[in-house]
Amino acid sequence: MTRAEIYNRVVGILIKSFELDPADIKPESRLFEDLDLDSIDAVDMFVELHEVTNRRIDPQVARKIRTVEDIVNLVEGEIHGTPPGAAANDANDPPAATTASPATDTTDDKDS
Amino acid sequence: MDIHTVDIAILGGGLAGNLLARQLRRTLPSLSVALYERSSDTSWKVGESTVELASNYLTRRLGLSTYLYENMLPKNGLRFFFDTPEKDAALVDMSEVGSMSFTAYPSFQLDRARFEADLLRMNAEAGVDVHIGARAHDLALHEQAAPSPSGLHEFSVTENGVTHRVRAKWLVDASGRASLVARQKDLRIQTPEHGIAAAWGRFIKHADMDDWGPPEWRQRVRNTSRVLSTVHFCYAGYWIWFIPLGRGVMSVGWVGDKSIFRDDMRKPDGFNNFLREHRAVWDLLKDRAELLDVLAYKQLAYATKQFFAGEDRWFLSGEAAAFTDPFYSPGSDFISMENDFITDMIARDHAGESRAEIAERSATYDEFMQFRYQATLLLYKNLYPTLASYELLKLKWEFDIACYYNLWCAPYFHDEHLDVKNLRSELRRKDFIIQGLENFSALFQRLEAGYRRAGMLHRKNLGHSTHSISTIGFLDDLRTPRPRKQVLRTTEAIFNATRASALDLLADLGETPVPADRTLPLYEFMLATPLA
Repeated sequence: MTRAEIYNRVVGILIKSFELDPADIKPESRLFEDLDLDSIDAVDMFVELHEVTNRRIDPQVARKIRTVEDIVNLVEGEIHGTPPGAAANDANDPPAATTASPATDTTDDKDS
Repeated sequence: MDIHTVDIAILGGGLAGNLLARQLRRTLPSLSVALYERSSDTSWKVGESTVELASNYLTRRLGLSTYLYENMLPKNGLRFFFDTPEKDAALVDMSEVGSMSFTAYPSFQLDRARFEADLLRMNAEAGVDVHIGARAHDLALHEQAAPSPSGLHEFSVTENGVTHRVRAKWLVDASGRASLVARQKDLRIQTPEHGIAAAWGRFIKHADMDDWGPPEWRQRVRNTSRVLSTVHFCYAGYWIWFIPLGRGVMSVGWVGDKSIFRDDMRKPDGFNNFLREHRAVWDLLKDRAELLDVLAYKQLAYATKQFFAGEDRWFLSGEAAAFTDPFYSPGSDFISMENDFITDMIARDHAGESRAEIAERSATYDEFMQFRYQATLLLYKNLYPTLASYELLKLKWEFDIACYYNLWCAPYFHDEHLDVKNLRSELRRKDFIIQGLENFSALFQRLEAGYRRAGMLHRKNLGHSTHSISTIGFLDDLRTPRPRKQVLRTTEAIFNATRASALDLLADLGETPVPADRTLPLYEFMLATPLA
């Protein structure tokens, strides 16, 4: 999965799981302050990310997540085995398809 | 050989089989049900205490509320007493955890022998073809991978020296540890990681705990009935139960680490001798109590590779499938959920749902039962040493009961377990829930090890008592379905309250927690990292 694909997937998860407006989601968006997520939403997000990476979330990395870009770094690190943040920081240059399709995830919570 | 054909055959006329037969008659009256019970005497069986989920099943689903209140005993929650290392504390001096009023949701103490005999009679009256003293054998399952010539499950039944062949579209094995299906399909999984044994017996002429001790001791719990509680006398590595069966009979049992089990506990003298080593226990029995019978199991827990094969129309219920540990009496909870799932799958199959749909549902129900088994075993595995301490078991109990209401009872009360979409959503989170429970288990184990090293395990085992549970303030909310976010918020509150109490105990040990924050966001509890 390329970094652009990961970004799209993360955005898709945020839109589908938390009913966010795609226009509000930017790489630098802060999850709690800007996107208004809370500690419960974070659990759902980790569940979703776990299904993307199929690996246990690294607690040390998880604790440092503040922005959308941090999530992209975490997923990229988990998938490719690279330290979070070590990848080319191109999330500031959003990929073409920033309106990722929610169809890419499988959320079926009855009450999100 | 005669051939009998029936829609649904149930192997086993114990609790699981009888309750399922009743449920099927109430839910699917157009289907014929036959039940085959090997034993011809309704002998005494262990497993008398129900908890709130199973009681909800018995009252709401099976319409047994009036029967239970008229014929069995209402249960007054769980009660724990703690002793000295020398096991010589008098009952009234022991620290106590237990309510001073009946619990908010009903639960019952069952005399299994009477209850099952009554159920057999009620089921026969309701049209179930009941066979007593009928031994089932020579089972041939009809599965897509290995079809039987008749296209139905088949087995032989021998009763009164006569053997006939039974054919059934659906087969439920509720025959307990002897399970024909589990053996034939090689489903049993041993659980050496939880090596717990048990011995138990029935007493009569025991002392009345509610007419015992000074008035102040009884007033301490507002004279509510301690006898009607499932009473646990707690020790390092084991516990002793007192469960009233009504009509003057008391079930008394021992459950503990296999290494403590003595073979002579299988015999009345050996069992009595063991009990005699515990002053408070023996005070209730010694003068005139008579032990009627005694039974024992060296290894209680086992798991199963599979609970249900809905698409192949066979199912396991109760101990035919799996067993964890009797400490919180979860056996009838498992039966309740299994029977609900089985009835639902048979109903859908009967209504014409496709094999593929049933297969998918069966796999989801199976995964949920495996999840529940795993989560339940985590309540006990490696935690028997914590039983020694009033402080530690109180902490663990308040955590366990709150999680039980929040995560297991509440969804059951509103049939959310039968909403397969909801179930799949829950199952997506299961690894995180299990991780959270493992983290708490590790925290409790760390506290026990620290307390043991410091010689503090018994420091508050005399003269203390707790009669309310601080973590279950949300019980009123359970009357209606709750949004998932509310459930998780409650989870977060329970986790933080328990961790905060644990931090106080760690502080007594002189240990500094990392992270030091008193409150953590929920996801932090569910990461693979220590809670303190």
